[in-house]
Amino acid sequence: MIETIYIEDDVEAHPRARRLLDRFPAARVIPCGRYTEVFNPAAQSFRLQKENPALILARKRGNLVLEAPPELGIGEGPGFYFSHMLNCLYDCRYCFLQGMFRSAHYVLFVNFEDFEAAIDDTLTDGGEKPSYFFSGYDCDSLALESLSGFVERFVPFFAVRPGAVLELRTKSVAIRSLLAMTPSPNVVVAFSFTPAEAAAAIEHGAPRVGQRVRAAAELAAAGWPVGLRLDPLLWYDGWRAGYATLIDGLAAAIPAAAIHSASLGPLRFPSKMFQRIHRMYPEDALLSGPLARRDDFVSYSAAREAELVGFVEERLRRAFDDIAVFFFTPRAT
Amino acid sequence: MPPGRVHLVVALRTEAQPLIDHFSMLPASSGRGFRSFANSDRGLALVLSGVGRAAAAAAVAHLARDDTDPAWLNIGIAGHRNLPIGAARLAHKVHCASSARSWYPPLVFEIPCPTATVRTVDRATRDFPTDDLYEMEAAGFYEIAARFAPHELVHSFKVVSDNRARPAETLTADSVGSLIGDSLETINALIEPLQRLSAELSERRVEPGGLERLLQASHFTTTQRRQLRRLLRRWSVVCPQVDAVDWVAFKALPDAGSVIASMQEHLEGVAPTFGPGG
Repeated sequence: MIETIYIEDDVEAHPRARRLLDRFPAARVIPCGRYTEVFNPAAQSFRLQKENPALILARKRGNLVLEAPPELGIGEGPGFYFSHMLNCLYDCRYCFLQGMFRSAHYVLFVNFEDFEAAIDDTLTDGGEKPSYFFSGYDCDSLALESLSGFVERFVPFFAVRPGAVLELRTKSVAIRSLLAMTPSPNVVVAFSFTPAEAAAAIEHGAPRVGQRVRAAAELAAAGWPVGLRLDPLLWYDGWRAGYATLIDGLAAAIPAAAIHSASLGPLRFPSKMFQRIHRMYPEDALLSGPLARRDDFVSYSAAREAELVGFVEERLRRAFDDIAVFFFTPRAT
Repeated sequence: MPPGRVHLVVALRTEAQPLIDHFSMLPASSGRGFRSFANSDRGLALVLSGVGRAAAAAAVAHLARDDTDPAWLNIGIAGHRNLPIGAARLAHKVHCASSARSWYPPLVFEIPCPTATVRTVDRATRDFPTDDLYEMEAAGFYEIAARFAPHELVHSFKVVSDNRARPAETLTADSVGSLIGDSLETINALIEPLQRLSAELSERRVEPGGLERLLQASHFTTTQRRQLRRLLRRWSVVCPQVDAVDWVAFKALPDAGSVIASMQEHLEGVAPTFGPGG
């Protein structure tokens, strides 16, 4: 339920903003010059705002499409990311957004048409290999679909651009709009998973793992390419059994032919970001666990990381024939 | 949980008197320059700032000397072009007319009254050109209070005292007092969640159990003290069933360095436990 909407003066007349204002007639509407006046000031409490985030309607100006770090790749072509939203409905304790943004308010950039133009500009520069576009870097691609209408707009846009691949990264089970469309071979719906017991403890507000598996299976049955994102990989009491159960459950529900790719990512925080997040949640078991500073990161030890990656990769390859597995190794920023 | 504290910043004694009476505050003895009142048991303090942005800012600084985690609430009267006298509003935006800066207090708790933009001006106005509340302190108050507390804990509450139909010249000390007095229920409903938020913040800063005893047992350098504090916080989450001081004593660790190294090594080996998943 959105109680407060901040709106940039500049987008007050934008049809997408008008529709949202009409949808929440009881919300208090607060005009602002630029969204950054609300979103960026120092000394805001991300944790307290997360209790009742507001919606900010804004225009994205400049840097609409950015090059993705090469290690994010899920294919051979160049990678890009774009963010129609900042922040997420869910509250996962390992999420870097809580350390990156000062505010937990949801920012929705309503000028989708400018994103589309920027994507087309990027595509004209492209070569023979498809370009990969990631939409779930600063938000969950599907979780606020009922608000944003992102999927409804961008899936048809990418469907007629075979030189591009769109990855929708999500933990959401809001798949109705996707099921209502004809599947596009170049739109990958990538679900993030951690084992059920870990997810229940640290992915606050996110759908249960079983629900996510069912949503992925439904999309696969409808013909959508599905991605499996086991990122971050978590070390906890019983992790082997947890990952084995998770992967067996995925394999039982989703045929290997429907899997576009899997990617594995170790748990790593840039050091300063970790300090900020841990200060916010000093009582959290994951953040208080055996994490240590390695170079510019806070992470598990190299040995533990290798053990996790090795085990999970082996289980995935055993469960899904010929699965393409990518390894996400974040760099310090 | 430690009790939450709220600091009230009020320009004039006539505005403050109903609050002083209602919350049974007594004159506070500390400091010069501003008159202040407090009820420590209720976690409330009040400072009389005087009129204007600079005075409000200075009063915040005066009251901020002792506490680290209070919430801040500016209470006062304001003018509006057509809102009825007595209408109460919480600021969702504080705008400083002379600097053109704006602040947006995040509304993270249930708000007991409508909200509005509060426009701080340097001189009282009678024509109210915009649909905002006009007053003279909120911007000075907010700018400085937000240096001492997260924005979520800094708010400004105004009661309409004058409008185009009833200009400020008709106000008396009694009528000002009544306007604030009639809003006490709303003010209470604001103070309550602010105290909760203040308490939440204070709790996160409470020193971990065992710190003092371990510091007394060995000589720790400043860096080691910081490390020990962090380790004890982790310990209380990861090994809540084992008393860290007892564990250190049992290990008979000879000095601060070995206490830190041993605790680190121990915590490194403990995997977090998550309950059954959904």
